[in-house]
Amino acid sequence: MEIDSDNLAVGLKRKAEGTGDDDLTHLFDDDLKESDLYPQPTFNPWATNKPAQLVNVASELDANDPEWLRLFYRHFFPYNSYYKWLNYDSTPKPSRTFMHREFCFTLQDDTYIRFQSFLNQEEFKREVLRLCPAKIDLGAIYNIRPKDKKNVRPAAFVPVSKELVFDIDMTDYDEIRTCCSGGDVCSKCWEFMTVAMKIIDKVLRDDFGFRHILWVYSGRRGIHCWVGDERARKLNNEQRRGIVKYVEVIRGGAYQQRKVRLPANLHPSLKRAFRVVRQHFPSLVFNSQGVFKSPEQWEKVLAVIPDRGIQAKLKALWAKVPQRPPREKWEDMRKAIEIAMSENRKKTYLKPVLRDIMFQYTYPRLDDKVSTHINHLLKSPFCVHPKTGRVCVPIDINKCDEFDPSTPPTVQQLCHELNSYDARVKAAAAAGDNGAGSQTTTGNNPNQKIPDWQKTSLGPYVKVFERFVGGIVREARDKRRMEAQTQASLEF
Amino acid sequence: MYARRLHRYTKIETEEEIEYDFDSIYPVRLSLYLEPPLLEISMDEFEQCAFDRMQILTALQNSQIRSLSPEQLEKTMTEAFEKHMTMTQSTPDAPVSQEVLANERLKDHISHYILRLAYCRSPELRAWFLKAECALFKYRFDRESLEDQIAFLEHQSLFWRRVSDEDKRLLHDKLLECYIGAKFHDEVADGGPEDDSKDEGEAEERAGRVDGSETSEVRDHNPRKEQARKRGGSDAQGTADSERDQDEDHTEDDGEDEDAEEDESKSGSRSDKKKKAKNKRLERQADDDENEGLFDFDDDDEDDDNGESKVNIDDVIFFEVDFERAHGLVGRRAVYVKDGKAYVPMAEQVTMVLEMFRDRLSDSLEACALALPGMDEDDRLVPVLDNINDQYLGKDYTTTSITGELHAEDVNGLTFHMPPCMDQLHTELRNAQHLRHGGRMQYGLFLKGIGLPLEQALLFWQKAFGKHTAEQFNKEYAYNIRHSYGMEGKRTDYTPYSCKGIIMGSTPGPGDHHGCPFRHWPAAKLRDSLSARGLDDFDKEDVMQFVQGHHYQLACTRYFEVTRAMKMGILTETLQGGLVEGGKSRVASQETIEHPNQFFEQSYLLFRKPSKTQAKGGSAGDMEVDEEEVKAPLVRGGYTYKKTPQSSDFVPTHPQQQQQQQQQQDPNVEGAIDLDEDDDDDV
Ligand code: SF4
Ligand SMILES: [Zn+2]
Repeated sequence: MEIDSDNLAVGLKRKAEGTGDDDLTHLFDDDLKESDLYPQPTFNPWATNKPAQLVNVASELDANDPEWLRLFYRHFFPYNSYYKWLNYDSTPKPSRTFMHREFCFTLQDDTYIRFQSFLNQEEFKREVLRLCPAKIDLGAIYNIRPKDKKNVRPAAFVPVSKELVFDIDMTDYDEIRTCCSGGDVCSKCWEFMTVAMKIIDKVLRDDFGFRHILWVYSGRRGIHCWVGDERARKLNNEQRRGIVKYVEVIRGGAYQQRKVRLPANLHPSLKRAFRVVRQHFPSLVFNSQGVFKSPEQWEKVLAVIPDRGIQAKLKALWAKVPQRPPREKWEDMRKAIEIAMSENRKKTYLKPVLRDIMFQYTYPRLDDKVSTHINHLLKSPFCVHPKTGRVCVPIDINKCDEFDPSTPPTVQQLCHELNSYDARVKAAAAAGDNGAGSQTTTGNNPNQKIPDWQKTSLGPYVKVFERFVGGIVREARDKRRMEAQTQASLEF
Repeated sequence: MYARRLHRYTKIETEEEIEYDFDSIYPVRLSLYLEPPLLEISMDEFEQCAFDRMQILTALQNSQIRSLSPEQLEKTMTEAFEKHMTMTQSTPDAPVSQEVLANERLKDHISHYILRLAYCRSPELRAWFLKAECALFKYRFDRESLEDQIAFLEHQSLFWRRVSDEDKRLLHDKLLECYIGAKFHDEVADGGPEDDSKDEGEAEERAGRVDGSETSEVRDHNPRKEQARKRGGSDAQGTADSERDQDEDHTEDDGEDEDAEEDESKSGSRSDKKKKAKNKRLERQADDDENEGLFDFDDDDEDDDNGESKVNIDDVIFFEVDFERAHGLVGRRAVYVKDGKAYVPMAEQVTMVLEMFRDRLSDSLEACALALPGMDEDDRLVPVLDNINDQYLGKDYTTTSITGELHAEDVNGLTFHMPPCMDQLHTELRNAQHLRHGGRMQYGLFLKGIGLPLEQALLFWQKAFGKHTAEQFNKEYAYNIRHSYGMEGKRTDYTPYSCKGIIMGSTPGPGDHHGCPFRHWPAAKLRDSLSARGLDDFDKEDVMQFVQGHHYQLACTRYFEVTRAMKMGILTETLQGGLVEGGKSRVASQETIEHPNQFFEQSYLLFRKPSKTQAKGGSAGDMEVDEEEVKAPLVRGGYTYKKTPQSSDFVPTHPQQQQQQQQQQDPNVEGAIDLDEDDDDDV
């Protein structure tokens, strides 16, 4: 359900005036004051929490309680670097890029409010804490503030830039994966995502020269990619489509057996990708997915071979020895094709078939609409997935092999971690003032506060994010310097 | 005529006289149309220009959709240009005066801008126009001599950085791989080289073929190819032959076969581009070994033997551009991409130019759309622009007179000639004795178009709405009918809906029966209905192929051909492709069905007079429909669709047709044209 923000504001006000919100605010006795303090730019939202209360709250909440979200947004969402990222500038002053950005909030009752925009970090944070959205999506940066959309003709409201994004969802692999289906994912099929990250990241960096790339776990069964380079943000839809088509090799719907048709001579980019394909194909297809272990699956593979003679021959052969190891079955295919080609000179078209099957069973599958439409929404990093409760954390591309979708923390977990951290600190403080010397903080010294996320297993993920943001900020600074220099050289 | 005025044109703001120098404004025939032309033209000229350009654009588009052979395309387009927009080139042998050239080029320029104005007004119109203009630009660019192409590029100062020899040496292997790959990729990806919108259809088409290997027959999307195959005697229904056909189809699909020659001869519709690529392909045969290592999982070698000995890029000039500027080539993986740069070989310049043309035009259409609301005030222009848009929607069937000779009771006997969209409405009307608004409009205006006058229409509808009392009917429906005949309200004389209007118009909801069956019916229902009309599996799939490719009007055209031929007891091919006896088809010259009324008229005319030609194709005695049986309608109206070049073959011979049109444009000659008589004279 989509509702426009005016009505929503009214609705929410009513809600806030009612009991709902008040009950919640009792949980934190200093909350009301806090929200009054927001305009202060130096305000540190993490500074005033009392760990003891968090313990109580967290232990009383049911796993599905929406209050978890509130705790998450209050304690763990990395507002500072998030704002720096979307501001794309080296100064903290809000830029157009931030102010004209569309945010879309999906509330917990599934209503969503599109075309939200904020003047600064504080306003954003205040709204997030007030609405506690189940999901935050990021849209494009428009020529005017999305909030002012109503004031202009529809045609005069146009998206001007946005990160180049990719969305890879495990459900697109359902026809080739056997371990899970639908929303489920396990470490076996996650290998598909690993392959996707490796291949696409290379393309973006080496071929297109992008530097600021963030990979994010979507919280359940997929990954998102954000390319923050200025050049990437300025691409128009056509150019985005160019890149997507350059990357994409899987085409065709469910009814199409053979989804990959590549030329005999692979493009250098695909040649590079093929090395990754070749590396992962055996483990994925022969082992974890067991594609050659059930007739239903292997017949799908055979159907790709455009030669009914070979199909029939192998079907019969494998029906007799279904236990034949996958590698040998693959050998069978290879031999059968070789024989067919040697018997009939015309059948050279069979030659790339096996290679194409490898692509079909390994290569990334993109949701191209997300990438090619500049105004398409994509879920923001650091949301909490409503089904799994896990945080949509960034993935370190250099360690993407190690990423396991069951490890990103849930909010519950984070709360417990935070509580035990604070308990430890407290204990250390009690044990003697010297003991805490190695740590930079104590609960009593607000000036030396470290952010709550850093006290938990979310920390390393935020660090990955900060590296990404740092790169962007540094580039923005360099650009400013350059401009200042040219300016200076012009003046003298 | 325009150019003379250019001399006298005074810039309003500055009052300075602008002197145009023919040489400098249009030194070349091609244009990117970056600046609008500055001159005053009359409303009539305005409309005429727009109309003429529309003819060119639609002629080209139709040819491409129908995959005409290069020769046919050439012929069609040459005729179209001659008729509507001559674009000569001065050569030493045949010098043409600068003024003539300037005039032609100016018209090209003006007409482009007028259509821009008319077609910027909705995303859908913009998309259509963009596509049509790009196709036209490419068509024209391809036909310029190399010198003219270069002259054009220089004039536009289109400059790209040339890759230095040093860089080229460093990048040699990669460039070579892409160079070879690109040639090949073209063939895999290109169903029809100019049509980039049909990816979806193409994918489905391929799917059809591959999956077809499990069923019994493999059909081709391209009707001409199909036809050729049938003529070649390997009728795909023969089992042995179909087997072979399939193999060939796969080979074609895979594109890297040695069947190139056969392939070439089988499909007349492949473009020259293919031929060029063929040589490369043969050379490549030797390179396939490269993939040897791929089955071997432990072997990570990169065998870079690309057969450098055969393909040589030493003489090829490469340009280095930002990948953004070559996004089309990038998307096809036709160029090497490194660090944000694309390396484009000389031969792909066309693509780059075209991409730029498209990008700029696309941007300016958007800009134009933003600026246009201010222009709406100029209310002289708006109706004219609307009218131009209507041409795209194909609202050609204006009924110039509302009097006519068709009677309410005749309608029933004419259903055979109605296209499926109307036939379904008629049937529904019979059964339910009611039609909802969408259906009433669609069918009512169609009937008006075939010559049902107002009084008869009222009669017809009242009878058809049998469940309503006369009073009810008069209260609820009569007004609408009179309204649609321009006798009420704004007194707009509504014209029958065109196919495009129906296909893209309001999607029928539950309970609605309007729309185009090819577009709006689920495939299963459509198949059933086609069977019910006597199509065999073979023909049915033929039609369905078009439907799947989203070419609904082509599906309808095919349906027309198949069913009419069936009724006449002749082979479909005799009706197809204008090939009956001496190249003259009796069907209105192979046009795509653009309009339900066109469908009707073509069918009607086809059966009205059995002629000798036709008697040869089949026996006239077989015909169930003949002139006695079918009540002749008085066909009226400006047959503007016949103004398209191909239509000169239309049944009434040329001079008469012209005369006819002249008469019709003259409002004083009332109801003077009776096709019947004209044709009787003819026979
Ligand atoms: S294509 Fe045109 S004539 Fe044919 S059924 Fe559809 S709308 Fe009617
Ligand atoms: Zn799994």
